[in-house]
Amino acid sequence: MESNYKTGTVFFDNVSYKYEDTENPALENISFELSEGEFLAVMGPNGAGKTTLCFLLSGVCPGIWAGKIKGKINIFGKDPWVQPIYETARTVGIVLQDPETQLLMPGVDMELAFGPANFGVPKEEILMRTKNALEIVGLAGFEDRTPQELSGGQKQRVALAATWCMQPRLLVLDEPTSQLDPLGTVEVLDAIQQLKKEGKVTTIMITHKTEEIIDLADKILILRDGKSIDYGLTDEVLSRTKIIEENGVRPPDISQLFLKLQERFQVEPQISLYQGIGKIEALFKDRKLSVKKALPGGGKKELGEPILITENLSYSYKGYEHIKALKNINLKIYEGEFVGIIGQNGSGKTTLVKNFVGILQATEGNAFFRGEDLSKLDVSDVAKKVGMVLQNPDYQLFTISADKEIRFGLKNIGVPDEEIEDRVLEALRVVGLEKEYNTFPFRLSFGDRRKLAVATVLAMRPEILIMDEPTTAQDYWGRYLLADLAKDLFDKGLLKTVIMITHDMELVARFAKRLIVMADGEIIADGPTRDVFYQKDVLKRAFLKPPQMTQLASALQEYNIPQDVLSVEDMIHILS
Amino acid sequence: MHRMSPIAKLIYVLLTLPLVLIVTRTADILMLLVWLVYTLILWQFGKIKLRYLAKVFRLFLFVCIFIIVIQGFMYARVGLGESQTPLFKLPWSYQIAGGADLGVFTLEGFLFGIMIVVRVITAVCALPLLIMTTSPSKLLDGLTKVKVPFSFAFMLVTAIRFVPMVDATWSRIVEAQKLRAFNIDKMNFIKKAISAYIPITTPLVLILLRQANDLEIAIESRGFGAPEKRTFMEDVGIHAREIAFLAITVLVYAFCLWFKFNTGSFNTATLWVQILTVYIPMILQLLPF
Repeated sequence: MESNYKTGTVFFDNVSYKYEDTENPALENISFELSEGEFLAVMGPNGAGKTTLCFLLSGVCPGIWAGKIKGKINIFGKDPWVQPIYETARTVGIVLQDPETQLLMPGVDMELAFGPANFGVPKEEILMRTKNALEIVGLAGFEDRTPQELSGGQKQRVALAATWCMQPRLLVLDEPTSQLDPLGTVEVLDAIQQLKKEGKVTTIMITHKTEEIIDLADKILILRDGKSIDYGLTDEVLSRTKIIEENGVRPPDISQLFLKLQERFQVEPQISLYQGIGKIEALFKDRKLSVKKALPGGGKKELGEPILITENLSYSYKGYEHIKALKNINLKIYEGEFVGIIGQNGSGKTTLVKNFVGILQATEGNAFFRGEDLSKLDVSDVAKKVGMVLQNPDYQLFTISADKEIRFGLKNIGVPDEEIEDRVLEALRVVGLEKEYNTFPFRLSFGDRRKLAVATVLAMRPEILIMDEPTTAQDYWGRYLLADLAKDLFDKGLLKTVIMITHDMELVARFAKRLIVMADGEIIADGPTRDVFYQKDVLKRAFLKPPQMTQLASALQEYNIPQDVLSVEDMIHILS
Repeated sequence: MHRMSPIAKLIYVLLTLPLVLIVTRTADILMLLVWLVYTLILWQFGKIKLRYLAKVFRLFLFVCIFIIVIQGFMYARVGLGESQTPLFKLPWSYQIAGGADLGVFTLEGFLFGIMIVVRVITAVCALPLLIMTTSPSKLLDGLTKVKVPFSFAFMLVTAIRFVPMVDATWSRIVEAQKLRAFNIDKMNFIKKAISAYIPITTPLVLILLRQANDLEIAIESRGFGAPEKRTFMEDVGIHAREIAFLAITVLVYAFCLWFKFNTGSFNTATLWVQILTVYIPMILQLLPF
């Protein structure tokens, strides 16, 4: 087929791709075109083919994963399909999701030199590029660090710098922030912004987070089930709020708000918070909008007895006795509470809950469950009282069928044989996996594996459920799956108390009635979620940003908007 | 020491090994001690603390005691004209071939045991000089320079990177299984060995396999395997410093061997054949010409 695309740009011309061992194509008839220096964001739900797109760009398909292709790929006049990966690597640099595995070398300087040294770039030149790249990503002077000494955000920036040292003309970023905390995310996005400013490099970035790319992307491509749903300039695509939402991409809160407002007024769709604030202010000035109602009080669930109490709880990790990971935590969590704990990585939130589940024992002070000292209990006793669901189920699943997976825990806590079967069935039913009784856990999707991990915990019938990052690695549709499940059990009274550790502000805004903010091993705020989000200085200290609607409320204080608005629903409620 | 070319240090380590291997008699302990002292002096240059030696001792303590006890009871070279001085006797006696009495702990055996321990320590102490004073980057370039295939040297260096990572994954899994009331830390040895590792190792292997996939992508997309001659980031050549170091090392080495020759009967011919056919070609091969 004759193509009228110029050389010297990056384009996909009707590209379809099918992996060797799958039935359905991973990508179907994908087309897009970028000129030099442009930035394309690729979005869509899980299984849309986003990563496959990255692999095609970087030559990983077919170099590592074989398959069949149709259509034409062009990257600055070259086709990654017909050359070895190292040839493609001269023009295409790729940064992956996991900060851990993509660093190959035991030192930052070696990491950065690895790529260019493979191509025989002279030493002086490599040293210059290394210095320059570290400056751009904000890590000047980090040459002698080892990966173990770096935070997630720093590791990811080293990966970016290492790719940058190879002077790629096309930079491919596969969800570079998906495994980072909010601070790390900001750091990496700033670094990407800097690279963009350096000019010339063309970038393709995959992401779930719409807010991230509003200021970065020139164009957006939305994929679903391997098909192209929408493609165009960023503003245009994001203004089509309905289409993107229907296809599993989360529109920014502000555009959701305008979508709702469009039902009542003639307003343009908005995608940036800053401009949105101006428009809303205008509506207020024209008296088209005003605050009509107060926020709903919320059906308050009666609080029962305190169920978890900590008294002067401190913890230091072995070998780091001089650093207190937790400093004098005094906390009371009651029966009937749905608690969110937020804070950056390293703020102590995970360390705190590990003290509740018998993984760690306080170095000073105590943690009590209904008056029993948790540090004196055996893990099998703790498991019957406090359950915890981890971020990644793959650290736990190991048997050949779902039912055996659940049995394992039950046997460990000594449930009588005749009762086990009932509990297994019940747990599978609760999480909606009753059909997967005999399935090999690794055949399940990631979401289902997480549900299975939840089932293994629930079968032990704990009174408290702790969830670590229940939204991680889930797309827009699946993000509240686990939280909804916990909420449901909580409402039915099967769980007395739920605690969620998360970086996801929308999640806490939606589910948690009580919010605890941690920083540097201390609790810096603790109270009803609405009140905590209102305390800007506290959030700033924890490097957290309140939800967009709270920011909007704060910008429009003079119009009597209550300052504790959390969500689009809240905002619409008070304005209607 | 840190700035020294890894090749020079590698030669030093490789010299140590035959020295340790040719030891046959208790008297050779002198030679070993000379080399050990030399090694420990080098440690000072390499800023390796002597405390580390205590660590090595502790690590091998059990083996050392075991060797000394065994040698004390079994050692006998009556046929070679050595006498036997009993230190103490067990209430029973059992003669074995060669003239040793398992019921008698001899002074000669005790000393021979000590000599073997010194031998082990000497060999072990040489390694930190290469490993602890050489950055992975220099190790990589050094190994590549002496014609170790790059992919092999690369594997070694990535191993340094990934050992702590595997370790971290292991502890995360152990913690994760504790949430299911599975506590491997509290199990006894037998229980652990029979079944307990399955819930830990299965996820570990599966996670590592997945990580290996990512790793492959990361390696290949960074130009691994490109036909260009790889850039050496480190100066690993032999310069004045290295020549001085090697000269001193060879001098001390010769002195050690002299001890060996002049303290009793030793088949000099065998040694010379060894030197000519094994060590010299080995050293020559290491020098990057």
